[in-house]
Formats: sequence, structure tokens, C-alpha cells
Amino acid sequence: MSAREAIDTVQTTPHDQVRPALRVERLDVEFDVDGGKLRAVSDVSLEVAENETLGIVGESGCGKSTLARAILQAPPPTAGSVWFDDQDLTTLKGEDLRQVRPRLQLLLQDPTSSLNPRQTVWHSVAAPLRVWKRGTRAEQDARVAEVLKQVGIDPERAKHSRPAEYSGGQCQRICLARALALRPDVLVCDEVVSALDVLIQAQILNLLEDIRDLYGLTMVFIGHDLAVVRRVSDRVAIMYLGRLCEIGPTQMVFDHPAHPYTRRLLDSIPLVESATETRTSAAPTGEPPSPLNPPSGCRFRTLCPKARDHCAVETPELRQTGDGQWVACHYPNVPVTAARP
Amino acid sequence: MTAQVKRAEGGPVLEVADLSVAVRTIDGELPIVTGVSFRVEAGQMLAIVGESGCGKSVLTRAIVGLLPREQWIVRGSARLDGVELVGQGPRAMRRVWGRDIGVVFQDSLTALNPVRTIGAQLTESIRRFREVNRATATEIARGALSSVGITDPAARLRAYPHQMSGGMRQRVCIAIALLGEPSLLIADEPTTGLDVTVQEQILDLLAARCQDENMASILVTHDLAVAATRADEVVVLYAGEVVESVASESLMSARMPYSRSLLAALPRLDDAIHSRLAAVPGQAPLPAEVGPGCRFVQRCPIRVDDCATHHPSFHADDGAGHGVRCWRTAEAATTAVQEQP
Repeated sequence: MSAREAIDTVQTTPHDQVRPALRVERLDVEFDVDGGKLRAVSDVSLEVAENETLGIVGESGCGKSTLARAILQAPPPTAGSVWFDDQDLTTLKGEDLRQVRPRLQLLLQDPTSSLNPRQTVWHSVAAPLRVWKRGTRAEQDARVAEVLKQVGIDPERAKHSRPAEYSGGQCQRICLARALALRPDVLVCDEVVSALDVLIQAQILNLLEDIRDLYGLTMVFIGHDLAVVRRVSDRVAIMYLGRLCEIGPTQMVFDHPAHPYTRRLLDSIPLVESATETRTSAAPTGEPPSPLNPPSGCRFRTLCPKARDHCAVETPELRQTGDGQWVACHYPNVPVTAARP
Repeated sequence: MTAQVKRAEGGPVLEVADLSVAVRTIDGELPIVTGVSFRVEAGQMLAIVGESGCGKSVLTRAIVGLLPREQWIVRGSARLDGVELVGQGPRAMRRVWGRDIGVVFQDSLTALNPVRTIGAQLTESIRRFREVNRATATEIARGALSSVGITDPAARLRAYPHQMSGGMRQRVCIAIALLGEPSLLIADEPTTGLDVTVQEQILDLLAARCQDENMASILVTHDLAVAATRADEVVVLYAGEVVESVASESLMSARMPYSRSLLAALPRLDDAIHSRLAAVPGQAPLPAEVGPGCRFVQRCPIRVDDCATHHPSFHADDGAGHGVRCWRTAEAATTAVQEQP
């Protein structure tokens, strides 16, 4: 069996959740850059079940945001498919694609630049309802007021206030209200709390959980802060230089990280409660390789403490190490329970 | 008078006493930082922690003399090795910068000149301090890059800032800050925006160099965990004033309700997934909104009526140098921060 056939049979959802809301298959995203092609996302397959939050963690340049945008077809991937509601989004064009878009919404890191500074907050939140002509004017206004209340923004004030009159945390609430206005099925959050202070971050994370329960949302939560992503995610995917390293149930991945890169990420997190411990091991040195010229074989091998000659030759495929936990490593920290089917 | 600094034996390297900073506005003076006092000894790292807008960067810029006098008013005292820095003009401070105080800023891309090579920028600084010829300066520059863990320094000297990664650029900034062998290093959010594994490397590097040179250092950060794991002493700033000062190993037993809220709002690796964080409502008051009482009063879970009208003084009475600004520290120590609706 070839590697290509093998990966098609890999199931990266937990068995008890039957219907995936989103299924990403063998996704590639390439960009033209000076001196060749940058493959930002390479051969990524994953599924997100209904009402599930999938966290995607990785460092800058690992392709996590590119992957999220490719799922939303903004821009579409170079290769691969994205299945949503029995349709492959990558095959949809024009009006067909437009009709799907309201059901998939995106929330970004910088809320102030996501809002039109010259329009009232009310106007911005109402815009999706107006564009899609959902209900009468009165129904639209009622919906705007409702959704603003749900995110903790005073609707009366929103009628005559512009984004500059709100703080960063409040602007993120407003962006969330706008994303929810059309009652989407899927919400993709890209580093939505990264620019916020810790107390505001806690408020927004709690709000996202409440909103997820209220709307029964399927979420993709992208972040670089492992403790934050862990908190909100049912499953997590770890990315490195455009590839999936590891994917599995959150608790399992954090308790028994199978990939050396996941281990490395976990070891790098500073923890308040460990302030009294003397730091024993210094961080491994070495610069991360450029995504323009990724290492052959396993992309993490240049910084991997476990790397052997074989890692430079063969790219590791995802293999199962636990119930629903998959790792792309030749020498994982957790024994492989099942090879590829 | 010039700021000729000579190390006084035994005393603190930096002693800040009752330092206040105000900005001139059309409505008069607006206080940004009020009555800050602390001291840093040789070989000690002090962390100044606070959220955005708390005045932590203004405070350090006031100490270093980087606030333009036309706009800013600095009162109080900041003595470096016994020599007063407050009130020194730019000409006198020019002798202090680089030689007595090294500064590393958050944004390494703007800290470095984009159109000059790393080598040119290093040798310029070297020749400011030492009368050496170009070849010797290049030799020193190469050594400086090696000392901050940059491999192949000869090649890096010919590179421009944009050709390096953020982590590598921050190493260069640290190398430049250390060229004059300062007695005090101020690092203002040196790892914000860097990946967690790179952050670990940079913080390791800072700690190692400060230890090697027995340097005093100030780490300005919004990240409580970074402060707790790296500094000896943590000073918590809220709305422009010090609310708590505590040895980092005692941070977990902080007593000021604000510090306790910060600790409670941090997502931890042992929380239940999807559980809600203890988030205090609201946001810090703007400098113009500061009332007569405690500045945290509107958000405080254990406030009493008097807190809004009487400003608590900063008191350290436990004998271990643990200082708190709160009327209700006895209650604070026993009350858990509750989640607010």
C-alpha cells in the first residue's frame, strides 16, 4: 500500500463522534514567493465533529492560520478538499460558494482593525443581516440587539458609538456579535485572545465557551498559547512547518505527548506555580528552519533530540498511539498501538 | 553636572524612590505613574508586571531618561550606583546609555536600523565606548554575537535585520545592550511576540548573561508566569502605582486582590477542559478616571465602602519584604477570587 493510499484511511476523529461537521483531506497550500514556492500547509488531513472544538497549536510560520483560511476558502487551498455539509467547498464557485459562507465565520486577532472605524458598532453588527436580507428591518434590529446582549455589549450605546470608543476586549466582543449574527455552524477563531491582557483574556475565553454552548457551535481554535488552547479544546492538533505532528484528545496529548515537538512546546511554557523550582535544563538552542527550505524527511529532525539518520530520509506518516491520538514521528514518546490500517 | 557613575560598594545598583511621571495635556498634568519605589541589587533580577496601560513602560523610560521633557514631567528619584538620573539632560544621559544602562526593547525590528548591516550597528556601538580600529571592532562584534548564542557570527555581521528571525534579532539587540558592560540591564517585554520555544531561549540567555556579569536587571513584562519563573522579585503595577512587591517564590501567596485575580485568570495545565476561568469584570481605570480610593476598587471582589474613598498606602509588615497596597489584606489572603457573572 502506498503512503498516499494509507493516509486516506486514517481516521482522526474520536470514534464516538459520528458525524464530522468539517473534514479536511490532504490539504496543500502553496504561495508563490521570490525564488520558488512556499508550501505553507502540506498534506494536512483532519476532521472536526459537530459541537466539537478542535484546537490548532503551533509557532509562527507553522501554517495554522493558513490552514484555517484554506478551510474557509479565503484563499482556497492549492490541493485537497474541505468537506462541509456533504459538499466539497474547494469545488464550489461564485454564488454557490457565497451561499455557504455565512455558515462558516472567522474571528481574528486584531478586533479593532476588523471593524470599520467610521461606522457605528450597531451598523457593523447589522451589516451581515442587511447584506443577506434576513427578515424585516425590525427583525434585523431585534437580532442585532439580541446578539449584542449575548456578548455583553450595551445595544443602546452601540447605536451611536464607534469602535474607537471601545477597548480591545470590547471590540473582540463586537466582532464576535457580528460573526454570530447569521447563526453560523462553524466558528474559526484565529489567535483571538493573543493581544488581550490576562484578565480580559479570561473574560473572552469564558464568553466563547458560553456562546459555543448557546449556539452549539463547531469551533476551530487557533493559538500559540498551549494553556489557552488546552482549556477550550476537545481535541488538539499540533503543527510544525506546515505539517501535522500530532492530533488527539486534548487531555491525552497534554498528559502523554507522543511527538518530541509537542514535548518541547510543553516544556517551554513558563508556569507560575513552578517559580520555586530551580531551572535544571537549559532550552535547546538552534534556529528553527525556514519554511521556504524545510528539512527533508521529518521537518522537526534538525531540532529533535531523538532524530536518527532515518528521519532525514522518510517523512513520517500519522500512526495511532492511543484512542484517537495520532502522531507523525518515527520514534514517538508513546508506543504506537496500531500501525496504519 | 554630568552623570559620571561609579559603583558604590555594597549598595543597590538602582534605587528608585517615590518616582512619579505625568504627561502634559491641554487640561493640565495627567499622572501616569505615582510614587513608585524599589531597589535592584547587583546580580538580582526584578520583574515589573502589569497589564497594558498600567504605566510599566513609562516607568522604565522615565528611569532611563527617554521621555521628552517637553511632554513629560518626572519627579522623585532614581539613583544608579548612587548617582541621580532624574533631571539629567540628554547630553548627560548619553554617557549613561549603553555604558551604565543597557536597554532591550520589545520590537527588535524597529530597534535596529533596517538599512545598515548588523556588523555596522555593532561596530558603531563598540567604537562609541572604546578607541579601537575597525578590524578590532569587528573582532569584538564577532565575539559579542557568539556570546549571545549566534552561530556563524562572521556571516551574521554582513546580514541586515530583516534577513534574521525575530529571536535572532532579539539576540543581536541583547548583544548591543551588553557591549558597554552596563551595571543595569532593562529588558522591556523582550520576548513578547516571540514563539514560546524562542522565548525560553532568550530568557535563558538574559539570565545567563546577567549572572555571568553580576548585572542588576529589570524585566518588564505582562506575563506573570515569565516574571515568576525568571525574576527574584516581582513588582505588580496597577493603574500607575505599585500594588504588591513580593519575592517570586511567594507570588502564589500574593495578597493584593488584583495580583490574586491575575493568578486566578491564568489558564493552567491542570484545569478541567471547558471550565470557566475566574475573570474579574471591567477594566483598569484610565489615568483620568482614577478616583480618591483604591484604584482596583470597582473590580475588587472583597471591597468595602471605605475602599472607594480612602487610598490605601503601601505597607510591608511581614518582615520578609512582602509589600501590599490594600486595606483588606487579611481578608484577601483567605478569600478565593470568585468568578463573576
